Amino acid sequence: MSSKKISIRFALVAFALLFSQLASAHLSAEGAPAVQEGAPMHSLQGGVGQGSAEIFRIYAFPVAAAVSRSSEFTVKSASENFSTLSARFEIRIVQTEDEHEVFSTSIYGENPSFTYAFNDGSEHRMEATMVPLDASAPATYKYLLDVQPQQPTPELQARVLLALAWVFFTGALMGVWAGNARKKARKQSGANVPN
Amino acid sequence: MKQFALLSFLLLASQMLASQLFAASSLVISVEQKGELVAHEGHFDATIYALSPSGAPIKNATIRARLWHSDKYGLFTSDIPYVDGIMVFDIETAAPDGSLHVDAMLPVPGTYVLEAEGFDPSGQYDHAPFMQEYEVGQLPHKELNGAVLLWFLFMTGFAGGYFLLSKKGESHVQ
Repeated sequence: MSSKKISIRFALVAFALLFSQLASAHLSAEGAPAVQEGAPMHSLQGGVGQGSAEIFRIYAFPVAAAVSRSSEFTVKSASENFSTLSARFEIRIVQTEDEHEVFSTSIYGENPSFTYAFNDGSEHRMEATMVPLDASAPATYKYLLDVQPQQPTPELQARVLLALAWVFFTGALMGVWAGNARKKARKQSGANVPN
Repeated sequence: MKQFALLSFLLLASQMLASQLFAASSLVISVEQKGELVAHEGHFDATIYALSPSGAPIKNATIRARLWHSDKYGLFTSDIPYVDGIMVFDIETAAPDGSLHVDAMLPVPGTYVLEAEGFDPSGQYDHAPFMQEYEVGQLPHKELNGAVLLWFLFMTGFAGGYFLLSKKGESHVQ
């Protein structure tokens, strides 16, 4: 058997193996449940009172927050020595520009989470304060969120324009009616005037 | 026949009485709302309590609260670019002291619905659903701006119809 034939057979076997692996990976991915874990947000300033080590992380889903779209935030432990069950998490979201608070709450439990829909397309700051239940020092982490502004959909824009056009044309129709009424009145008054 | 009817009635009545006597009582959801309900500047500042029927907070209860904007306008929206019917927040958390505090800015005017549920981990009290509607008004200056815009459009249309179209009609008549 020539070396050329051997290399062709080797290439065919390698291709078949690769194809079967790709197919099995695709099938297992289809069968697996969709995991919506999101991505950890990067803290600007963390571990106040706890040193510089990050003991918990907040995961955001979807990763990019947008106006009017719900974002889910989940608190997870980032250290083996820390359990989220051992603390209360005070969440505060403010608009960075004017420090206006838009949302605040307190959550407890194992990997506690909450969903919030932003209503302003600007930069926001999330402050998550971990208050240990054993009254030890709290830790505050701060995160920056660039909330994407949302343009109204073409359908919504069309609806609003239609409503405004309706107001304009109602005015125009009433104007025509009033103009004709005035004209008729003038004609009648002209006919009644003796020459 | 009459005896059969009497017997079945007695059975039914006894079953109803037993279910009333042995049923677990439900916990009570109570909401204290303090914020001013105005869109954009007002806040939904509420504390949601999971209480026993006697009014005592249930320790370590689980509370779920959702606030959403009711999509009652259908084809129209109350404030562009927001679309009516958005979910403001959805929180499910353990409540060691039997209460959950939430403070959220309300983005658009209209009707908001708070849905809350309480669960007692000890199983002493049944889960209790709660629903309440809140009417949120528009900011006065936004209402004024809207009214001015609509009035301007109407009057522009009226003036156009009165002077231009009626003049055109006049020329046809002549």
